[in-house]
Amino acid sequence: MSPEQARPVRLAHLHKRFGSFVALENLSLDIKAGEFLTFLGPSGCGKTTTLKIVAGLLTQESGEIYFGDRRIDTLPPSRRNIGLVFQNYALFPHMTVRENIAFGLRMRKWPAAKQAERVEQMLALVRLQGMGHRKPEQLSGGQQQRVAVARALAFSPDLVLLDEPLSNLDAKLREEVRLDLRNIQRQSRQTTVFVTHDQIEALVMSDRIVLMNGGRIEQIGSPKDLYDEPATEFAARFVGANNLVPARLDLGNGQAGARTDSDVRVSLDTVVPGLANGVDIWMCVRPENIHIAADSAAADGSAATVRDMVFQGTTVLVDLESDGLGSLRAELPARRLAGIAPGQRVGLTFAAAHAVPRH
Amino acid sequence: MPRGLTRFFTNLGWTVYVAAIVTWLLFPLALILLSSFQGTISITTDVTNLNLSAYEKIPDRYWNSLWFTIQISVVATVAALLVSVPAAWAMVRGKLAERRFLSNVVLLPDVVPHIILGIALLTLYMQVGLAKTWLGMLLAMLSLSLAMGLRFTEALLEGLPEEYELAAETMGANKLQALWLILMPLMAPGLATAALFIFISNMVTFELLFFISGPNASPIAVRLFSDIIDRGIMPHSVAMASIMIYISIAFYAIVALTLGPKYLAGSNVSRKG
Amino acid sequence: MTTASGKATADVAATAISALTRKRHLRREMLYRLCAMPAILVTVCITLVPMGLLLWLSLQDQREGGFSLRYYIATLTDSFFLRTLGTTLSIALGVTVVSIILAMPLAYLLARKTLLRNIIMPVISVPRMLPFVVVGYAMILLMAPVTGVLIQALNALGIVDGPLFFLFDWPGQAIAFGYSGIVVATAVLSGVLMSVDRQLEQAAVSMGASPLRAFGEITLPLAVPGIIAASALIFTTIITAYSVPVILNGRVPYMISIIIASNLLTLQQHHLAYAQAIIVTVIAISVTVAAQMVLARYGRRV
Repeated sequence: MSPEQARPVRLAHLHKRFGSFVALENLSLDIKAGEFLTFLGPSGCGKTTTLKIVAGLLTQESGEIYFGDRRIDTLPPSRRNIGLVFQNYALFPHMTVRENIAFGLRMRKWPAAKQAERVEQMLALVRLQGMGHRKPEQLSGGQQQRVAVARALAFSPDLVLLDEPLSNLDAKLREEVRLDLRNIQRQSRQTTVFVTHDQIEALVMSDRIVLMNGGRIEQIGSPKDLYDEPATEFAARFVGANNLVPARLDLGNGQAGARTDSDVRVSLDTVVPGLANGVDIWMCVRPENIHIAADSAAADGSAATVRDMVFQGTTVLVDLESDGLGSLRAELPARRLAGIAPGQRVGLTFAAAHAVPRH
Repeated sequence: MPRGLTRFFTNLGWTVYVAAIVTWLLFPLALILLSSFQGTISITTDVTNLNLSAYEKIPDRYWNSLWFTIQISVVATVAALLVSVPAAWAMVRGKLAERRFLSNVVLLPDVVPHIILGIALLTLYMQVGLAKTWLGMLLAMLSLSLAMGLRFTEALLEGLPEEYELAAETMGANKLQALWLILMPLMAPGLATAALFIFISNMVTFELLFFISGPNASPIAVRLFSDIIDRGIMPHSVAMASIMIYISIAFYAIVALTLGPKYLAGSNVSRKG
Repeated sequence: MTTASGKATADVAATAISALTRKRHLRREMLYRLCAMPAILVTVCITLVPMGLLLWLSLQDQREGGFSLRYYIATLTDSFFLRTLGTTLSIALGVTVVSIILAMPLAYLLARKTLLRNIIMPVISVPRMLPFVVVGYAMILLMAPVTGVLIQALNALGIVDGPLFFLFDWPGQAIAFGYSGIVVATAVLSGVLMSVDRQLEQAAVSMGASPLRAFGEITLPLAVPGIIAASALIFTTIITAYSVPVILNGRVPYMISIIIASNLLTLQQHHLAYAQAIIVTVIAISVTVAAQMVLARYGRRV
């Protein structure tokens, strides 16, 4: 668990095919030592395939993997020094929690006393002290998951891989455990790769997110980068809720803007770099960034008619039919509802409008 | 008819039916047992004169036969499992292209009628001098045991997710260690069950072994058969038949107690008499 | 190991070391093949070779040597053989159908009521693990013309007067087969019916079907592939049975195995017996394979 253990990981031009289906296409990535990196994407995007290739459970068609400057993709999984947490935990049913956690140490022939000491350390780390003698079947799902994590961390691997470890937990538990995992990683500072399809998990836990789609990397960035400035239409739609309005990029008079076919112009706060004037874009506005004024004569953007309102506890979803920008969905704090009702005409202002290329 | 009355008659009908079938299935066996304790094949309802005279009259050659059958059954069972565990592992985990074909080949002895296979073995054995020998008998039993063993172990391995072995590997175990430390302990209970079923199946095999049997290599089922042909039904034969029933009861008692009766349904123990 | 720059060098290194991985995979595959080898070897030697020999000899003239189809022709034109084959198949079919029908309600009961199953299943499984010879003994004790318990009971009740001789005729054998048939059918069918999701029946009942209706329209159709598999098993067991037909043999042999055995053992017509054995094997395997194909197309593995 010492920081000097953590080495950067480099994936170079990984290519993987299943028959005629290309699962990974020329995937290259640098993973910083000690960071928590999440592979995020829908089913079939290649995130689990990448994980398994790094672990050695699958073989790539071409490409290399390096830990620091040591090439590891030619090694069998047992010699790569990787800790892998399976989706179903794969705790050995015939061994106690203690024996499970000690397994990796046993394989590395640690002396018995050191094994026992380390097991206690790990139990403390995942807050399962006193459970060492139990069998996996005697533990709850959340506890099993923590044993799986402890087991993978015990032998201080060069890299920790987690394959959708939270998907078998119910919603409430998931929220608790993801913060747990994040804190454990901050403590141990081991390079960690996390695979999930749940974008909230990715946003909460990661230092950086790798968004994947169809075997390719769509975007790499911090959670804030991905959320505030998605680079593609896919990224804009996949991460968080978003309103996408078709428009053209208008770079006139200093302030970038989006001009729709009905000639409504909305100022853009951010734009994906390198786009020329006049190209097709999607204007992206997140629901929480649409401000509604009861007075429909307000500035910037349009007037709209409120079609429906859905109460969500702390917030309310407002479906709007705007003049010139199509259907939009806004999200307001419940207390800002004053004077807004279905059927009413309101004015819209947009904050943090962003543009991505449209194909 | 009022609902209560319909329900009553339905339940009555069911009870009668179940009682009838269970009685029909157990009654003949009870007759054998009763006859063995009465020492006669003309059974009477007189239960006061029960004795063990029929059992005492069981000749040595019967006991030798039984002991012989137990010995080769055990050896065949152990050998079958020793061979089928690696084979099943290779087929299930190995993802070989020819897996389906290999699997079907080893299961062939199950598809061929036992009597035909017995005749075929006799033909072969006569060429190589294995007829009427214990080795020939053992090998014949082995091919059947192997088919059963492979079916059991394949199902067992398919039911064990590969994740356990993979987890062990990522933590530094090589394939052999993963097999020994993780896979075998998890397979052990299933293998014990398989051993039990294969053993008892071997004990009662007849048609396969009849044609290749001889005076020195005579399983108990063949012995019971030959005696009834040559001498008719004798009290000591009935007594030995009773012992076979006791063995079967003991077997099912063990299975029911250790595994639960759920294991008894289903046809993975297809037996052709 | 650490080469610095030069894409060319890196490329060479990449392909060379990838070969290492490929070699490791090949060695792994060899290991798997090696593990499966003993099983294949045993089966080849103890099943394929003898059956091949049987087939080969059945096509060889016993006295003069050389290829000959005479045994097959003789068998297939022999009215005695064909008649006996007919009785064998009829008895087998009849007993199979009766066994399935009689065992079905019990199998259903055992499939649905766990407590009953836990008690009854071990008990009625006992006859399964017995040499069929023992069943023969039981039938004799039960139905022997004079001393059989059934005969004595019927005499005592005044229903018949004197001995009954059906034991050594086809009814005796049919009853013996039926005994074993019900035992096997109950076990296999209860497994099949257990594999039909209980919730489907419950859904049908909740929509207004009577339990019988639910069984007939939902459970039974779903169980058909398993029923076919069970029937095939019972059927092939009966047509190739030997011990009980011999024990209960009367003047007329009803079962084909007796003809084959007598040709082989008594009449020294070895090659004829082989040919007849092959014919029966083909019939038995066809039935089994046909049932397997139905099962594969329509159902789950029993």
